Amino acid sequence: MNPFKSTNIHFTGQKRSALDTARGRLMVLSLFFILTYIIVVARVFDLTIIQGEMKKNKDSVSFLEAAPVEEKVIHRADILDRNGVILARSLKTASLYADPHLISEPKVVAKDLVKVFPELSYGETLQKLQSEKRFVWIKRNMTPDDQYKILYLGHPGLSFKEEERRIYPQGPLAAHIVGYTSVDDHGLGGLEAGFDKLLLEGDEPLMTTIDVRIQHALRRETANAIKQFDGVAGAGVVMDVNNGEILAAVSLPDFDPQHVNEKNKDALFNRLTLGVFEPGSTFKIFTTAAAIETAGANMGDVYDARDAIKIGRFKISDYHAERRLLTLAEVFMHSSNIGSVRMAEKVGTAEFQNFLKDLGLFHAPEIEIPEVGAPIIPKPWREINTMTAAFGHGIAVSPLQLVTASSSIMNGGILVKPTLVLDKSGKGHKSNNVRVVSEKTAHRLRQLMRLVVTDGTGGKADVPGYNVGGKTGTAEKNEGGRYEKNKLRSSFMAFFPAENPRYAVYILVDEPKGNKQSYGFATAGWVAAPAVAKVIESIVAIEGIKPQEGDELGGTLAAYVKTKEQIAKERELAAFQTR
Amino acid sequence: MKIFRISNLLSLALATFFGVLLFWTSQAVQQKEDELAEIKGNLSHEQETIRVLSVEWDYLNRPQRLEKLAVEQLGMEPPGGEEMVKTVNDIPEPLLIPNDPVYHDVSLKPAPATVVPKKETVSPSTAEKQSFEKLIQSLDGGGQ
Repeated sequence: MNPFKSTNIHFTGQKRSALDTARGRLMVLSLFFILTYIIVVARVFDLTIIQGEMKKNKDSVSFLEAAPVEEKVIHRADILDRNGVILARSLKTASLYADPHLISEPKVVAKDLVKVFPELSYGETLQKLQSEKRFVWIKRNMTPDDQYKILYLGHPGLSFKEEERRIYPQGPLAAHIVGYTSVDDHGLGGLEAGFDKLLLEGDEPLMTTIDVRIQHALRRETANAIKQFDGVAGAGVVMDVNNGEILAAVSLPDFDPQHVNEKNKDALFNRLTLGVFEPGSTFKIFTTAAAIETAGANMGDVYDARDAIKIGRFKISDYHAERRLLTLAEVFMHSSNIGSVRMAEKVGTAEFQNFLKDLGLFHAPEIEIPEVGAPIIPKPWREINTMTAAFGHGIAVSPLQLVTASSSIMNGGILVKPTLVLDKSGKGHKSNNVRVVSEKTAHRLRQLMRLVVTDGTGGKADVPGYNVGGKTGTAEKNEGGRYEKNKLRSSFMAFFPAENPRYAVYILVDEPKGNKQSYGFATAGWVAAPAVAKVIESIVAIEGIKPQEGDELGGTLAAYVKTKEQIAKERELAAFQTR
Repeated sequence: MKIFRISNLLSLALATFFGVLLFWTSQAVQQKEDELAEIKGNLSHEQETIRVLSVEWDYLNRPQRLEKLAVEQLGMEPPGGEEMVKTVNDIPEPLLIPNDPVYHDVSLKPAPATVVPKKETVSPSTAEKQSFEKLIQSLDGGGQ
């Protein structure tokens, strides 16, 4: 309907003049304009006040003209353990200061302040408030609750300065992994440094693979072992052998990330990833694996361990000397250096080198923290290096590398990459399924490791029902070019359950001293093995792993291990023959 | 000339109506804005409090501390491998003392609960809370 049609405005009367018609038209027109203006005004209000504000700050809509400009607070992101327990978090802490010039009733204010903070003294506070300065600190770093109380008092002249503070509620528990930050909120060590940029961006918390409960168990037992045997330092790690996730990682002595003393280099030093040591007998895992994998060695192969090996000025002898012909199983079980050298000779220098290289022992491992130590590999690598490396000397690797490489064998032969960051997709970190040894070799190694615990040097690591397999490692420390007989590094590398390992547990104690309980021994079997057993006991309780009915691998190599009677008989026979 | 014509009255009424509507709406909006700002303020305060409290929670639940308290207050000890059982049936029966009336005579009232002597450190909340505050305070190394 057209409102401008003349028929529509003929409502004022039948007799109409031209003036009436004009007035009528004017009225319609003005009505139209009023309506239009109302619409325009409404639209303008909508666009400028409502939508305009919305567009100004897209995410925080403020309709209030008087509302304070909301700053989006970006905290340095949290670092959490695998269960969400906070390892590091930035907290806003407020510090209270006063401008005495603005305070009219210092006595009342001081009284109120002392009420909120009972630890402040009334006299001192009053003195501060009456001073001539324009700025006095009243209280640094208070909780939001206390801040609210002060605001509630509403005294003029009291103001807050807000600061971000990095808090590590777990204290030194995982200090080397989590790391620490500088005063200006920059990561200086561990994950804080490794993911500094990402953490500064805020929001998404960094979820690590660490489990604080297992971490605590490992730290407790490593510390106990150091204390019990009067060691100087230690390290330990618990790794998931299938995906390389590090559930616990300890380096002792450690530090409190809240109060870092930069001068205490010893405590800041990460022995697990940055420190490289001669691993000692744990390295025989690789020698034996190489012999089985590349030289086709069998469990029953016999190695002559009757006499020490002399090469030039070097002499290689056995710690647990058997002085007889040993089968491969016995070489591993008694941790015979001589036997291992014979094994490595069988493998050959080039093959042995390649094997170690494939396991990632020749280059620094990749991990998310910056403290990574490169291994020390003899260059050039001569035949003598093959011989010493066979029992873990003359080559230095970090404990992390050692555990990663052994895990790669024990998990069935797939190379793993150590990681500290939880992969939520659940795919794990197996690096493209690179196979390092065959499943058969892996199975042999599992049998051998179990044998070490059931019959060999690692008996104290056994936890009934959990079929622990492992290898001891006692290395003499090399100081100034010569090996110290009394300065040892005792370590134990364990896997459980041996038939299908899930966890690798490794503990190293630096310079343990024998005591009464260990009959003066400071070797791995006495120092590190029982500590590993205790960690395993804690892990099964934490993870709720049920004990197993049988022991699949225990005793499977009995045919290759001579009993005491057999050995005695053999000795008799040998004596008879030489007569 | 008629001023009070129906058309004029109608337009006036309309204009007044819209004016009032606009004013009323704007007032209502402003009121909601105030409420919103207050809620937002409370929210951010609560969020900050939650951040602090969750840190305090994890601080008080440190495995070291829980273990220490469990050992001291409850007489517990770290589990050994043999504490884990395969099935429910492996859990040993409670040791019944043959002539203990508690187990045989149901009509008997339970013995008065023995008051466990509490050690001094039994209320760690205050002490630990203070130590948490100390932790926060000490961030500045006590420097003023």
